[in-house]
Amino acid sequence: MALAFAALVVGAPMTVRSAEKGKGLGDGHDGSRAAITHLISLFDESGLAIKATDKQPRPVSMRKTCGECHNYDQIAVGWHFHSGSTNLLSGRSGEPWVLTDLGSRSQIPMSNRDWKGAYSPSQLSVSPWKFLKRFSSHYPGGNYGEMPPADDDEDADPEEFLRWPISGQYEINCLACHHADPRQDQSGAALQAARQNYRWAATVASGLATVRGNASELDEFYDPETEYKIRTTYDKSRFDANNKVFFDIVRKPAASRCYFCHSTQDMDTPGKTEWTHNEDIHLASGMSCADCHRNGANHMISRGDIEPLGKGTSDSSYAKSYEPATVAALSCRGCHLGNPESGDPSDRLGGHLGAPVPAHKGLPPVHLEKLSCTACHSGTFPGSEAGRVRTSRIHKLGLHGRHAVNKKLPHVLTPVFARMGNGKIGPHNMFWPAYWGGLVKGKVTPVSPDLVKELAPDALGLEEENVERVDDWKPLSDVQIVGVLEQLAGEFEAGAEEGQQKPEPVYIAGGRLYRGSNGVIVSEEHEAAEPYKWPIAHNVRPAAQSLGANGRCADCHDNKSPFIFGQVGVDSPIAPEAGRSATREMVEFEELDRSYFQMFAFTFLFRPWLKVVVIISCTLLGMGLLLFALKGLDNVVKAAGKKGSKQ
Amino acid sequence: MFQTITWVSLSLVLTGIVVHWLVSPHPRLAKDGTENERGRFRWCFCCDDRVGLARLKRFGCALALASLLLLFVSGFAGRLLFGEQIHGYTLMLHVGLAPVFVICVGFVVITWGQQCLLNKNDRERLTSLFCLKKQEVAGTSDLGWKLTFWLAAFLAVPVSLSMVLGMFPIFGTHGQEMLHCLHQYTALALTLTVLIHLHLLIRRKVLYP
Repeated sequence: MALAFAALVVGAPMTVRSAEKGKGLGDGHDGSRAAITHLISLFDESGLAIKATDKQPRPVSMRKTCGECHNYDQIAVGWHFHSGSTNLLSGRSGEPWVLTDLGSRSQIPMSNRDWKGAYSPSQLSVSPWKFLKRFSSHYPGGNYGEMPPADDDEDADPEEFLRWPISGQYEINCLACHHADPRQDQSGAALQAARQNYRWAATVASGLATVRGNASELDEFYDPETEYKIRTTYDKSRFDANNKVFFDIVRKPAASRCYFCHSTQDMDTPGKTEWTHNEDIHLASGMSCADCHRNGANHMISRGDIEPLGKGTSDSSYAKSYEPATVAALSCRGCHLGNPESGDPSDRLGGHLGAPVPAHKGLPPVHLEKLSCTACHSGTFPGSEAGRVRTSRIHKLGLHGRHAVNKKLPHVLTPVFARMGNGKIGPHNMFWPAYWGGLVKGKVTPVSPDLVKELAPDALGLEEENVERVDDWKPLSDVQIVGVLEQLAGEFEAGAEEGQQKPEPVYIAGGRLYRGSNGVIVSEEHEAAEPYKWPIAHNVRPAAQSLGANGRCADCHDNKSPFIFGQVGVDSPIAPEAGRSATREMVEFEELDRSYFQMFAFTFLFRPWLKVVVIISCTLLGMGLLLFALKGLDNVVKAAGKKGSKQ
Repeated sequence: MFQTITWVSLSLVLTGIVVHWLVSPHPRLAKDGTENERGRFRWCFCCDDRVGLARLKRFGCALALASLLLLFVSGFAGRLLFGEQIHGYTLMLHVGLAPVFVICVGFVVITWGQQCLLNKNDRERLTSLFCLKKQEVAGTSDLGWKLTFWLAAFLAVPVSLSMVLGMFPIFGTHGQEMLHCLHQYTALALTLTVLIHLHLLIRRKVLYP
């Protein structure tokens, strides 16, 4: 008996631990809905506990501290953190990183995901180190942040071997999302990133410590193990007697946390009236981003692109990672209309979180087949010309103090109604890529903006004016283009290997490809010059402000409708050629027949007449039928009466 | 489903018409019924009277038939041959013709209704049909085309209303789907009824000129 009891006592925790094999202690879920108090010990990157009494305390390592109870490596393959890895997933196009360079007049969509129109960082000679230097202000950490060059990497910049140990790795910043403490300051993390203090970013942002020192200013031979020029000073009041610190950790992050990287600013509204803007109707009704964009322990956050009855995605790994049957219930359609394919009865019914089932009165169902939900419900209300927005990641919004920036480029246009990957039409954000490249067999390979500036500073006019101050397109003349193309031709000539076709230097901008021909610049349309666009779903407008609400067919079926005939500006540092429009029409992106929709819109002028004529005709027809029916009945009654009187 | 039903019903009706021609070439026809009461019945293309209202009546009939034919082709061809819903320019043509058809049907009912009223023989025949009694009644062949006339006129109402009501913000998605369903099935029924009606009329005209 005693033995059995001992076995039970010893075996019980073992059973629990074995059930959680492959997971961290904190990754399991025992069914309790109570919040878990995170009173925890802090660890530095060496795994040593951080104490309040440490004389030279090191910054907190998320990998070691959070990884104590959570499977860091599993989280690291989540949607936010795997964008640089080899097993990355693509899915539908999303907002890329944009490599903007005012001097070379370049703005290049960049992503490792297989998104049409985007180039991988390696194609643009952007190493993980260079990537961090450019984009770490709005970076969640992990991945590129933890990819120092291998010791045997001969292509790596020697400087990077020296800088990585000084700055440290930019680990996944778990607190950026899950720390509900109002002191959590991502702008502070961005400031540390700007100083190349990657190792310190999470610690400073959490409000747990202050840091003095600037890794970018330190000598390349600075030894971070023995020197302390970057000093971390913890707020000792945050430590208890056991050197544990309380973090207000929440499973579901507040919307304000997401907003740091996912805000959009409407540029068409003067700053003074920005306060009049409505927020997304879901947030206004008390929801948060994570109510729909949910994830499990693997941090594969649902993106809303896997819909019930949808075509699915051509990326099988993507579909596999997301378990379509489950996440489809979290899409617009899944929540509001239910997922008839789901095995879960509640998913089949929809209405999650009280989502109303839309009546769509007067809307022919064909609209639901041709248009995404977002086409009518999302984005800014369309005007005659697509407006402009700035986004957090592209324009570095949300940085305060001395490192605040006011980027204007790229000019992101919205809403642009375009054909999506699933064949439906939906609103997109869009910008026109601009870059120098080499054309081989009809395919353009971009050239790094840094290399272009190095090769042709005079042609680009870099010596004359600090283009960074202009902070917008600085015009590029034909003479300048010829100058740069000549320099690039020389570079291609020198770098060409025997037997390989030499690339033809070209410039891409404003939807056209520019090439030199006998000293003259000629332009043509080219696939590589097509705008980069990605579908948007927010802000969702109130139902009354949806396109076509309350039978307003003319919102779209009118010959001046912005939805079909709206104009989209063509954005370029090159002045438009004589006779060529500086705008493109929405129908081009929607892949619709313009003349058909013009004629269709024309028929809507007669739609009220049609309704009146058919209803009057039907009424007359009905009355006529009733009249003859009564007459027939009269005959029958009379005949029956005669028959009765005879009998 | 609708595609199959359409093919099957069209085949059945057309086969029935052919079989009817072959198996029953000399049916008993009323020689006294309509002639005795209102003079000899004439359809639009076999009318002797070529002036005034009669010409307008014939034109109304012809227009109704032509528009029905075009509506049938535009509405059913894509569906039956390619399995596609009506769309694009075909849809525009279809919607544009619809009011023409409805107006013509109204006109036809008002102008031809009197001649299509059931007479005594028709009523007796109808009664015997309902009672499932085999009864010798004179002049039974008029019953078919008269009944199909009224049935077609009646079906034109749901066919038209099912589409025009969908243009008002009254019905939601499910309601719209129901209306669409109603439209296509009543349109099929209307087409088949008109086919039978024409067959009976032509047969009558050919056999008893």
